[in-house]
Amino acid sequence: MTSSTFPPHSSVFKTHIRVVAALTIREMTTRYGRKIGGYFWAILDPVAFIGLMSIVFSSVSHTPPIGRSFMLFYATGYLSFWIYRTLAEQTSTAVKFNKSLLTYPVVTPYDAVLARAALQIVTQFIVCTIIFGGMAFFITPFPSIDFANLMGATIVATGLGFGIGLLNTTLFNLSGLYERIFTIANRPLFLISGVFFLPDSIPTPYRDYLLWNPIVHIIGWFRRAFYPAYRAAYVDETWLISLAFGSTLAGLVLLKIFGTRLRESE
Amino acid sequence: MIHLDRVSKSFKHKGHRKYIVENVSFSIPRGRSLGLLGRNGAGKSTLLRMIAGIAYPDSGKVIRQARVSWPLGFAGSLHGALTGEQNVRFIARIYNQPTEALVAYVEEFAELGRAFRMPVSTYSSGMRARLAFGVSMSVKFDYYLIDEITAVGDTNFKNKCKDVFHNKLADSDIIMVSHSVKTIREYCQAGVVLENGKLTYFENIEEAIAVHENNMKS
Repeated sequence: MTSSTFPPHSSVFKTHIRVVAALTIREMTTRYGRKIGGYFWAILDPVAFIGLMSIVFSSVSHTPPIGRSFMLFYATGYLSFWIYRTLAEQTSTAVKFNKSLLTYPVVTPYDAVLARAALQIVTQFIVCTIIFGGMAFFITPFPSIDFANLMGATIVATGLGFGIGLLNTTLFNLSGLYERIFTIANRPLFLISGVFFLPDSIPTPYRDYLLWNPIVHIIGWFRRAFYPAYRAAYVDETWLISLAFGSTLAGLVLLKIFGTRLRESE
Repeated sequence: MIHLDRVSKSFKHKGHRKYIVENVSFSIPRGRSLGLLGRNGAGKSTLLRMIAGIAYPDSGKVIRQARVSWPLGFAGSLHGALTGEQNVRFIARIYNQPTEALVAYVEEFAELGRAFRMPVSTYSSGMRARLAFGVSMSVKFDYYLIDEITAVGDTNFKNKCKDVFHNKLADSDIIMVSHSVKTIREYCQAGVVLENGKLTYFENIEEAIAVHENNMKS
């Protein structure tokens, strides 16, 4: 079950780079190009959300669970959650939304997935830089950021988002039932991931149940970078890294096995 | 040259297995355009997609030692959310062609006017086909795979296509699936008849057509 193309071997890698670049441009023109303001909206979306949450919660409560700034508390919680969820969503639908372009033999499902993930990762980087850069103006004194923890948490959130998205690329195609169950099961994820609260404030045994959710760990790790006094001892780094690697690897294997099916299914 | 090496491909139809091709070995020679004939549902389009490399054999392999186009036809390789121009740019990029030259050529060739800069989802099937043909013919392939070109439009445009194939692309070959015997005659010199999982090659397209029409009667 193999097929070879012409010219063989030598330029295969170059072709992939060219195709991924072309797909990235195509994603930019349709995802951000049609709306007024284009790319601006991708950035405004999380900014508006964090702003709104800060206003709502600061009016019902005096201080956030840690620190003094509501804005910083929700920004750290929401952005790490958003990195994972948006990347997972974007990656899982990449093949579906580029279906017609898979008619070109040089375009493979891998290219579609890679292009979309790459664009999303760049967008996330810009969004995070703008949000934290902007907050540094409003919040005084702005805490000194621990970059090792920030990098660690961001890489794990990105890896897990990409891995889950990659897995779902194939799994959604194999089973419509699974897709519905996954979507429904993930709906409350936002509420139970610790965007609004700290797991430290939840009584046992509920706290232990909550810690089965890897996003709780990601958010805890992310907050550690901004709150020097917050240790977040519950964060299991090894488990998160294994999950990110494991899901990406499993996703790649599934795509290798079912990639042909993805392309052939109408 | 394109070579099919012991290729099998089947699908399940109402509980039992139906073969499109069963253990078929066949070399598609250069220098002659080939018409694929077979009854409805015999799997002509799937065979063409396997030759292109976007459908895969269950066993055996397809060896391509030539530049083979994507299958052109109304199945639609164009992305609906992109404009005609953006689609052309995409194709230029993935096939490593000079973008601006390709855009200029296709804009003139496809005769879409202002629609060239509107989303393809607003196009009629004839407009899509004109765009798809315009682009594919401006990228140099050894084999052009064509799946039903009946939707391509008026006589004027058909003549334009034929002109390009006969002059500019004189050293390229066509592999074509069509329900129209007339179209096949116009473009193809040799023929292949697909029947019950077997491929039969005829050097003369008229022979292939005769066998095919005989198959259809029985």
